[in-house]
Amino acid sequence: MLNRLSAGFPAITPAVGTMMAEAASVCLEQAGHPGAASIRLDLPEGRISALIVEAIPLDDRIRRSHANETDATEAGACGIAILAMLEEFGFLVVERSYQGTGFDYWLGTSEDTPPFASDSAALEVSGIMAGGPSEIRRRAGEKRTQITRYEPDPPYRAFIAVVEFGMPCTLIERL
Amino acid sequence: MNATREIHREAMDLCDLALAARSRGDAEESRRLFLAASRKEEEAAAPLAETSDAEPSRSVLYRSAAALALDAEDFERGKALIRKGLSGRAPEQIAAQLVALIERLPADRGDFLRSLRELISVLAADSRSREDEAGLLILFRQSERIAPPEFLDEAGPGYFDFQRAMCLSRLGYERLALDLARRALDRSPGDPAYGLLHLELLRRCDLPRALEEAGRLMDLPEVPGHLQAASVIVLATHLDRASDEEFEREFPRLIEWGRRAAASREIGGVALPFVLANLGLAYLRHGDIDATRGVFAELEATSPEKFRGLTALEGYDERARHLGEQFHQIPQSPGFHSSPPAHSL
Repeated sequence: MLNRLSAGFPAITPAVGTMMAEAASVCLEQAGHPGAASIRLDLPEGRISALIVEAIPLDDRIRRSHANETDATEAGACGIAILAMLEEFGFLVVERSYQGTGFDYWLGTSEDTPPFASDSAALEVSGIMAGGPSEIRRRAGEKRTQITRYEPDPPYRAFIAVVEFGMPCTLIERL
Repeated sequence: MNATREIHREAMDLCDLALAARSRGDAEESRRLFLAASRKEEEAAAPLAETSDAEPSRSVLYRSAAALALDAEDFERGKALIRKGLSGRAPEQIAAQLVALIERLPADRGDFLRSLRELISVLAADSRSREDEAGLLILFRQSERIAPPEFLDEAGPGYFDFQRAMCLSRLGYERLALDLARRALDRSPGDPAYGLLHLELLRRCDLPRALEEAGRLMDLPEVPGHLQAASVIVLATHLDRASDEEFEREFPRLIEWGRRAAASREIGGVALPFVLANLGLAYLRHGDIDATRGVFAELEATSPEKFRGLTALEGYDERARHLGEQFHQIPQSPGFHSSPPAHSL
C-alpha cells in the first residue's frame, strides 16, 4: 500500500511520494511494526476502519536518510494521511502549498479541481511517533483551534489528520 | 487557472529541491532554489493579483511565495509578498499565517528613525490602498520591535497593538484585530480608544460577549461617554435581531443606557447622533410616536443631512430596519492615537 505513494499524485511527484513512503516505513519499524501494519482509522461520525499498509523494504541507507525523527515523523504522517484520505474518501492531493514550516495539502476528487478553490478541501496533518489516545486527542484539539480560531466557519472544507505510529492509529476529523 | 497550476507546481518542485539542498547542508544552493521557487510562485499568483474573487487561491499563493522568499533570506521580497497577500480578501486563517510571517522579518535597531519617518509619511497620506494598509501593519510591527524604551514609554503600553489592530480592522481581518485590541486593552485598561475598538470588534465578531462587556461597562460608576455610546450600539444591534417579546423586555434598559450616554459630557459630536438615532428607532419600534418625533427632532438639529431619512419614518418597517443598520457602527474618532508621539523624532 505504501508503494501507492511512490506512484505520485497530481501534486506530489513520485520522488516526494517515495520519500514519504520511506519515512512512514522507518517510523513504523521504529515503533515496533516492521513489515506490515494495520493502522486503525478513527473517522468522522464515529466510523472506524483500518488501513493495511505494507512497508517498503528498508536498508541502512534509507534508515540513515530518515534519521531525523521529527522530519521522518512529519513526512511519514503525511504519507499515511494522504493514503487514508484516498482510501476512505476518494480524495487525491491536487495541490500543496508551502507554509515555511512545511506544506499544507489540498484535496479534490479529480485533477480538474481548481487549485485551492472553495470546492476543494484542505488537509492539515500532525504526526506523533508514540503517544497514545490522549496525545492524539490533544494534537487534534491543537490543530482544530489553530484552524478555527480566526475562521470559525472556513470558506472551504478542512480535514485534520493526526497519525500516531505507536499504536498505530490515525484520527481524521472534518471541520 | 491551468497556467497558474502549472507554474505553481514548478514552484513546488523547486521548493522540494531547495529543501533537499538544505537537508544536505548546501545553504547557498538552498537559498538560490528557494528564491527561484518564490519567483515562480509569485508568477503563479500574478493573474489573480487584481481579482477579488480568487480567494483562497490568491492568498495561499502569496503566502507560499512569501515563505519561500524568507527561506531564501530575501527579506524585502518577503515583505512585499506578505503585503500583497494581505491586500486581498484572504480567509482569516490564511491572513493569520501571513501576519505570522512578519515575525520572520529582521529588525535592525539602527533603523528606528527611518522606520518612524516612513510611518508618519504613510499616516499623513490622504488615502491608503489596501496594500498601503498592509504595509503600515508591517511597519508598525517592525517599529515596535526596534523602538527604544523612551519611545515605548511615551507611546504608552499597548500603543503598537492598538495600531496594528486598527490596520487589521480596516483590512477586514476582524478576529485577528480583536486579538490585538484585547491585548492593547489588557496593557492599558483605562485607555478609552482601546476600549472602544475592543467593544466594536467584539460586536462584529461575537455579539453575546459584546453584550456582556457592554453590561459590565454600564455597571461601572464612571464610564467615558463614547464607551457608553458604543454600549448602546451593542445593545441596539442585539435587539435588532431579537424577537418583539425580547425587545419589549429589554426596551427600558436601552432607553436608560441611551439617555445616560446622551447626557454624558464627553460623548462628543461623532457619537451623540448615533445614540440618538438608535434611541429614536427603539421608540419607533415600541410604538411611542411622540417620543420618536422628539428624539429625531434633536437628531435633525445636530446633523440634518445625514439623518433626514429617519425623521420621515412612519413606523418600524423594513426601511426603518435598513436605516437602523447604518447607525450600528460609530466611526473611530480620527483623533485617537493616529500618529506616533511626534516629539520622539
